[in-house]
Amino acid sequence: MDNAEEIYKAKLERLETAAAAKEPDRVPIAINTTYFPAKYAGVSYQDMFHDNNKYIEVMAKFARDFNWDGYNSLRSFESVPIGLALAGYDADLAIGMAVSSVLGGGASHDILADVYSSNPGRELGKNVESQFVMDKPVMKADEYDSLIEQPFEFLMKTVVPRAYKNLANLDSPKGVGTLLKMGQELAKFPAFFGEFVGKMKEEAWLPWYLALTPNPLDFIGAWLRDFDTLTLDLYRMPEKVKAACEALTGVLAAVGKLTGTISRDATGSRRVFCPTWYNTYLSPEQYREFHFPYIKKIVNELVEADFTPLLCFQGRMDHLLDTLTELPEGKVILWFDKTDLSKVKEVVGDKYCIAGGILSSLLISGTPQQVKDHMKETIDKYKPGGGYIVTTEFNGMGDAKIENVKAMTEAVMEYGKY
Amino acid sequence: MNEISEAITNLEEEKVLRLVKEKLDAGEDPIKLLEACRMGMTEIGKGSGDTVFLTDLIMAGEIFNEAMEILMPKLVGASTKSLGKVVIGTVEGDIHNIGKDIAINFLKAEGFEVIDLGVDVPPQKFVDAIKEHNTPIVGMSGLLTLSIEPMKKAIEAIAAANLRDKVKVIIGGERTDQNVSDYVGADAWVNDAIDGVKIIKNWVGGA
Ligand code: B12
Repeated sequence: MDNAEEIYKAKLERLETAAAAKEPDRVPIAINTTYFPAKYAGVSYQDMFHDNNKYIEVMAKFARDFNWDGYNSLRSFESVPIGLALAGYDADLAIGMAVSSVLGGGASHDILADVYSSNPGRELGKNVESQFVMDKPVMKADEYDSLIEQPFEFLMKTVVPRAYKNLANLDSPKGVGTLLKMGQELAKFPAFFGEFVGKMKEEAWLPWYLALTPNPLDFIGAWLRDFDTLTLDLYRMPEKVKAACEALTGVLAAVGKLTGTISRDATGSRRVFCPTWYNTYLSPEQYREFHFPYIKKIVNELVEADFTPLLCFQGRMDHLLDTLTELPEGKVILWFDKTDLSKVKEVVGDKYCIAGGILSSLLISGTPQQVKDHMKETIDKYKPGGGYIVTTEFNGMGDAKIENVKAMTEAVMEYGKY
Repeated sequence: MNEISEAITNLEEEKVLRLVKEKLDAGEDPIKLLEACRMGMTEIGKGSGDTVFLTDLIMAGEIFNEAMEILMPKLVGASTKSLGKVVIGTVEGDIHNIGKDIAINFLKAEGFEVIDLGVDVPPQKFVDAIKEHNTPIVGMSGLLTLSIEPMKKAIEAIAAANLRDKVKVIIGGERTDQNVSDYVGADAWVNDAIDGVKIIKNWVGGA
């Protein structure tokens, strides 16, 4: 792309200005897409997931053609628990391990044989999106004390053997061999990452986010206990759940800062993706007891270290909006999907950056004209005063019609200028 | 409200189970105990979206099911009221079951007979279940954007089997809204299980 460097810088600035709740030159558009770019480029999902060259190729094409201000497709999350288990031993190794699936695609899934994900061309058809689904909880209800007392030891000795079939027996030839294979895979990562980031610069392709960290409650729900069983724990053993969240907060904040540093140094983006899932289920009291205190701690640590937490409140947040203004003003991006954005705006005013405005359901079922009309109305509403980024829900675009994605993009360019 | 209903409404798990056991042992009519559990569920459902949240509904469902496990063996052969049959499943490609299960628990508590097809349900399985059980109502759950097309296909399959005018279809789950409902051709959509139960009760004339 010509003038790539200039365009890249302009995008970086546009997103940062919006994040600071100020007016950039245009409303930015930044989206996470999963497999949509493969569909767009006519490449199978299987290839996008398992072939690193294809992965970069389809995303680069997509980035070039749509030219959004921020864009990424992260692949999977199954290596997060083993990465975290290593955090007390060697931070760099831990991060390498954790991001090996997020960025590295299918290799870690094939090597570890995790119980979390099913992937295209493996458990699923060639063109079926990856699915993250735990077969059954890998931590039992009576194991909270071990998690609380020695989180890393517990994760390595108890969770890892259950979560990764090939590590079921860590001191067997298969177990050691699996770790060695993982080591060989990790050794390839810097070269891949270098190429990846090089391509981004070439195409003026800025990531919406490259760094990430979960919060404790969601980590326990998604990777250890499962969402419904953890819900029952909240009633049956509330003190233990809180103590476990307490025990995990520090290390998860560290993960955010470490991945944030990698992202900042490689791409200039200081955004750290902080997804939140449990908000949808919790009562306001429960949210303030089990979820928000730890989210806030992590956010504050990240902000102190000069990162921009990109808080993705998935599902519904309508009943919890009063907590938003306890987050640092002008230092975070608040991203919503199902939540009523106009209510959010009423609460946060012009002091915080908000992201959202279109749901994939419209990109699937609507017509280009409907999409355009919706975008005009939305942009007119949230653009004044700045601090607004157009996005859709995390991981949602799969079946969107290409012409609707184009219409959305055009509408931002047309109506988004300040 | 009696003690059991109240304990359910307050989500007092141990107390509910203890009371159910005690009263059964004391020779109380299991149908009456079932009614008490149902009343507790109806009561807690009333607060949904206002003072009662999803975690509460999930916990209530758990307690209700635990109580049912104790009561069921004593209820075999007893004639309990039924409001009719409902087939429910999460559509193909989608494995989210929590919302669906909340809806199921509250439908059961209201006295519906629920045929739970589970998750990742292919279109034909809905068709087969409607035929086999002769149900007037089908519920589909979908939380993924990717569930919209499978919902549409399932409803098309029902139509292709000449069953569309024999059943009412209600869709629920995070991804559903009016757009989606129109697009897939459902009769109603909800984002809240309790609203769904109300609509279904209305359809069978039990409201
Ligand atoms: C828990 C969860 C999971 C768990 C599911 C556990 C389980 N046993 O169900 C796990 C971790 C396995 C999971 C996996 C995935 N998930 Co998920 N998940 C969630 C989460 C956090 C909550 C969903 C939920 O349970 N909501 C609560 C329920 C109770 O709400 P509800 O469905 O609206 O149900 C209510 C009503 O709608 C109604 N209702 C529901 N169904 C029905 C049916 C009828 C008939 C009636 C009457 C009423 C009714 O009753 C309920 C109570 O009122 C959401 C994010 C969020 N915070 O919302 C993502 C989310 C739904 N998941 C998402 C995704 C993408 C995935 C994965 C693809 C991730 C991946 N890349 O691997 C996989 C897909 C797996 C698959 N094939 O389905 C996306 C969907 C995005 C999109 N637009 O498509 C979401 C929104 C998160 C996100 N942005 O990434 N997920």
